[in-house]
Amino acid sequence: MVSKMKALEKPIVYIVDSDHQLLCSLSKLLEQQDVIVEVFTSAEDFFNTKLRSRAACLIVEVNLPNMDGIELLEQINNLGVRLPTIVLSSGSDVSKAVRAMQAEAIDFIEKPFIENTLIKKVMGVINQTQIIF
Amino acid sequence: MQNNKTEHMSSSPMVHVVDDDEAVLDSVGMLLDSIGLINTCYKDAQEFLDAYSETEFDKHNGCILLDIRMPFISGIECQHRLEQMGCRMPIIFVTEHGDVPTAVEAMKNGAAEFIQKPFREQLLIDAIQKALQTNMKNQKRLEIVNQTQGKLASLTNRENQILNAIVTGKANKVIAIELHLSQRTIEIHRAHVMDKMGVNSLAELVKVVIDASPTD
Repeated sequence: MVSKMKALEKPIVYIVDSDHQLLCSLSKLLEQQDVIVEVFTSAEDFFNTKLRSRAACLIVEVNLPNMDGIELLEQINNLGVRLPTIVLSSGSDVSKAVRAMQAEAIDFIEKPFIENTLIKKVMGVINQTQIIF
Repeated sequence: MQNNKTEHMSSSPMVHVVDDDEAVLDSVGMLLDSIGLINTCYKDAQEFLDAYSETEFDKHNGCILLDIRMPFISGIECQHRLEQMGCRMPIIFVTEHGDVPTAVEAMKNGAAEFIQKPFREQLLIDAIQKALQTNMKNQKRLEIVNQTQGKLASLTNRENQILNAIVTGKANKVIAIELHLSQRTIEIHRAHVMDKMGVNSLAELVKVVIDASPTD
């Protein structure tokens, strides 16, 4: 019971990427940081799940089937939800980077990246959001 | 230095184009002329920064087109310096040498757009129009904030103290005890605060103060 209560208070990080290997390794690393990770393989998949208000961070790949990662971010913004988002990109496309930043992404990171750097960044984001609420 | 008096809203916006490539300056200048946008061209960042600091033009109403790779001072460095100088005009980067990290850095530092050469002319025009509109809105908001800050500055120390207490939701009675003053004195100060701030209700006062606070 106690452990269940604790689990409820842990920050949630959403990851949306069609790359299963990436989902797997990032989740493992984040879970070590005492974070709950929820993964999705497409934007539709993500929107079909009820968003939880204590979500602290979203990591999303630009290149997703159908709706891309930036459209996903723009939709979240349109909902009036402020979900700090880090955008990952498997190709280096400047115009996509600009669009992502205009959609108020916190960062835009090209793949391949150093996993620990990303984890540090995510933890930084989480700590900031926790202070606000 | 002299024509500070002409207030910024009255003049038409100015587009400042900074690029070390003369051909680019020519063609962008012509493009802007063709749609009736007043523009000034600068051959490098230093020339623009000098012009900026010498107050030769309206520093509020306009936008800046910046090349990234230029001799001496890069576009990104120029963006930093402008920020330090308190420049709030939107910056549109226009560059041949766009890579993702540079674009991300520029955007994090508050650039409005980052356009790669060669570009469609309409794309640049759209970006400029959008930047000018955003700037106009920001200017209006800033003007209101400045007015409020002017009013805040006119408060005495005591009035300021009481304003802060009121805004945090304290009752006159509580403030009186905390400041070792009579409740009547607090009431008088409070009336002065409302008067100086030009508001009629507590709700209005709180709103005005919140709108003027620096956090966006």
